[in-house]
Amino acid sequence: MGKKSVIPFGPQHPVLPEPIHLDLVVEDEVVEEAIPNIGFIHRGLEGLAEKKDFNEMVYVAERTCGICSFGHGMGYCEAVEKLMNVEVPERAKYLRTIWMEFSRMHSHLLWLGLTADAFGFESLFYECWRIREWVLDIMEKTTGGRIIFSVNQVGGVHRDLDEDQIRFMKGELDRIERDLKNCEKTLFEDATVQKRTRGIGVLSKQQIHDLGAVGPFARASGLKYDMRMTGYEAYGNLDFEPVISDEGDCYARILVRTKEIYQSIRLIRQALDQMPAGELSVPVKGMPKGEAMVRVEQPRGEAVYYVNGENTRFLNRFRIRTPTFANLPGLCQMLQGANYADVGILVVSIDPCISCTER
Amino acid sequence: MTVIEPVQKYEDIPAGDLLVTVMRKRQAEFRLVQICCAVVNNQYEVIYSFADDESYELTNIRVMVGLNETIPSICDSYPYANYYENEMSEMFGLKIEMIDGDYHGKFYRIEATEPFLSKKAKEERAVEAEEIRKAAEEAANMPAPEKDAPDPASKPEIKVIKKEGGGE
Repeated sequence: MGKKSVIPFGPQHPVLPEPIHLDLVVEDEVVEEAIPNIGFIHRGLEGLAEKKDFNEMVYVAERTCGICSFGHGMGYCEAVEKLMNVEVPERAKYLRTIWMEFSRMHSHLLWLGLTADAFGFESLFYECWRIREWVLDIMEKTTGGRIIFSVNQVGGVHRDLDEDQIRFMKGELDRIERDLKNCEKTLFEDATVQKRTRGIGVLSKQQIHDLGAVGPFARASGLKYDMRMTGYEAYGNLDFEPVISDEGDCYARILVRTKEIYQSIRLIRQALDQMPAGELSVPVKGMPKGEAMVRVEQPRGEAVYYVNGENTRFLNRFRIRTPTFANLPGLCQMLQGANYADVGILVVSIDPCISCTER
Repeated sequence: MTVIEPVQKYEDIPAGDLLVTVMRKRQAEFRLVQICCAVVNNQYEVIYSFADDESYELTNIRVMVGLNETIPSICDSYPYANYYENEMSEMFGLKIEMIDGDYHGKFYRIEATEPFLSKKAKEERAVEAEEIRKAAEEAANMPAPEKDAPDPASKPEIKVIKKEGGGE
């Protein structure tokens, strides 16, 4: 029987792109308990809703996070549109879907790189981020921003895609798919990846459900739950089926996220082919009054947006429940009984986004 | 693809029914999606959202709580609710009893106390708390009826004191 000790993990740690603190109660290098602490980058963005015009608030919502920025802007707009009974034009719905899927691709590629880095596979990290650069280039050429696009507005979108841009996107998607295929063999079959991820951090479907986990983290344990199934924006017109795996370990999380990149490529191609001509936005009249809640599938899972207005240009309450916040209990459960050497990869495996979580 | 149309509903319940309602949701295998707190008309509005993972149905249970009132924790039914409850407690100052995994104000490492509770609401809460304190003090200071005290309605009993022995 070894001596129990508490090892602080974070807020600054090589595997953490953002600060989160975990107190790890360790005995004989086995984690007995993990106690999370957050708030190092809390900015009180939800509180800003009481001081910003509901139209300006889109820009604040987009700045909740640097990775899922587009999704936050879209989720906020959807919530306000639902509250004010605004019907967004069909073309705007398709454009939002396309940019949302590009966001998912760049988020998953970023995560794959960070995961490879977490277990010391630096060349794989470079490869994933090289592919991600092309996604960022597409976003920059079509929206003007690499991370924060600022294309959403209440009632639609600001920017359109012309024929040249659509052709450029399709060409780049072919290139990304081809390069990801080359990378896939290493991701799925390499001995280093297998050794560091297979059978690590296993959570069953029932455990995932009981812990309230969401997103690829939950789908890697067999929970077929994806908000895109509800057909918001243009998803209802596209051929889509959630990617799931039954293994529930870190390897399954790599598998699910990699397959979701291919799925995003397919969804974008479908959306580009089906996108109708038409208006980009509709004028929004009146002030937000009442309450609305919408759920959107962000790259990390289901995000919840709640807005409450009292017929003024300021919202009374804006609330975001981010996927990482929902995945924290799952992380703590995984860490219990884990080897201390695996803590880094386990923390990364939920794809933690701390900026989102703390808002 | 087959689009699932998610049903979304709101149910308003008194704070006293919270635990039973939440327990029923747990038994029906609903997932706790989020807990949201807001201050509406000088009261905390707490919304508990539960989802069914198959039908995507979302039920929002709304509880109104006075600024100085306390609500019970739902950690018995949903152990991971403690993160949401700690957040509400630290951001809004909502008093929650018996949180399993109470951080006592240390979940968010921030300097500000109750940053999402407006100055006005804080003042109103202090006034309300003072009124409650005074009422409790008055109740405590009221003289309690003595056990052997004579009944004012009955006639006073006259005691005849007999002197025993002489003085001189």
